[in-house]
Amino acid sequence: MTSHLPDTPNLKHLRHQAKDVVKSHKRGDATCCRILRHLNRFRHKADADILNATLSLVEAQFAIAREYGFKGWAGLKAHVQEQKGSLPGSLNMPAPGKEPGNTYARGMAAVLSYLGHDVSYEDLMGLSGVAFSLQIDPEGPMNGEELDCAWWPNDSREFRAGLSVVSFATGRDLRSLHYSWSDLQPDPASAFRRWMESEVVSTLSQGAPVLAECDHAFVITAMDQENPPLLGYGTHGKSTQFEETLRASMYPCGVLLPGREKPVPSQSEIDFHSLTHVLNRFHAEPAPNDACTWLCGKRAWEEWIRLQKSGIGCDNNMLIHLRYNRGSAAAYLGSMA
Amino acid sequence: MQTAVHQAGNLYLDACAHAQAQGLPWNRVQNGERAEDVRAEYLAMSETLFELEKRAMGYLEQGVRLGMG
Repeated sequence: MTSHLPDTPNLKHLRHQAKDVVKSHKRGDATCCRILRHLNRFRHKADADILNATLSLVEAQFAIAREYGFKGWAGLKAHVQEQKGSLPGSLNMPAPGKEPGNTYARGMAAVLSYLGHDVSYEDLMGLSGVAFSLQIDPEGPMNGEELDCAWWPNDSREFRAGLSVVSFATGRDLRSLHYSWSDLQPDPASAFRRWMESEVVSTLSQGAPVLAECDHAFVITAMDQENPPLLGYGTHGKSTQFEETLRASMYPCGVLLPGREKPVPSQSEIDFHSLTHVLNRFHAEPAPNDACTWLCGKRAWEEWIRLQKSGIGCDNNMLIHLRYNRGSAAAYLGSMA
Repeated sequence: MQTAVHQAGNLYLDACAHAQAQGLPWNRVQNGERAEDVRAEYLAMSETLFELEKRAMGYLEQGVRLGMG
């Protein structure tokens, strides 16, 4: 019996797999015996005989190669390197604008523009509701004596909440795969491979860039075999300005995936849908028993003012976000009126 | 609907002006201003913005109602 290689095989992972076989063998775990029977000397041996014999890493690599239907490790390695050259990506997409602001709206504007939609950063700020949002996480980290209640995980949250409005207005299916940071632990690389990689590969193969949720948004335009395997446009450190092509600095906790085109509704339908979303977010109440500590809309304002009165929450980040967001709100409503 | 949206837009312009009127609080304290004064001004600005925001949402609600009619 043989196994199938994944669509995007990774030599490093295959080496780890071989090392895992050696470790299993060393601790007497019989689950490795099936693979090790690819070695001639173990072909007709009982589990106990296999586990009592010596085993080298080279032999384990050979067995892994046979498991995937190759004659040996060299053949498997050559195949993986060949595949590496045919990984999807290297989309020739222009970089997002370099102006500071919400990186999700900026990144998505670039992605949608590349896909042929005429939608600006200000439009996306308004449609997503980010322009009107004030988000607060009362359990954010402390920055000296102040609570960083507007810290970076808030950035993508409101954008995701308005993704269906953006999709409705632009006539492009947009799907979000999102996981909490605790879901990704202890191995974000494995979590990415398990839950997101095939969707990202498939979307890139269809010629569409993907927006990843890292510390800020990261526009994926290509993949390779390194760690993390995501190449495209991102930001450095605390900056909210996109830079030229670079590698993502971390594995994402989610991805926003463009899909098929669909009919675009009338402008009045879009405006109505958009304003209804803004009002719903402003009046949103936290769900009962919701473990999430984030608040939005009116509740966020009340909590922020309460925090300030208690001596924390006088925070740079919140004012920076308010300036970006409310500037976009005025522009968005100005273009609608 | 347009008039109500326009009114809301004007309130957001006011909100922007208030948000730009003072420097970032941490930077102000680092530059030697008294933390108590900075906190008080920051809180006053937040309360003003919240009031403007509530009024703007009132106009948007009106706009949506008119849009539905």
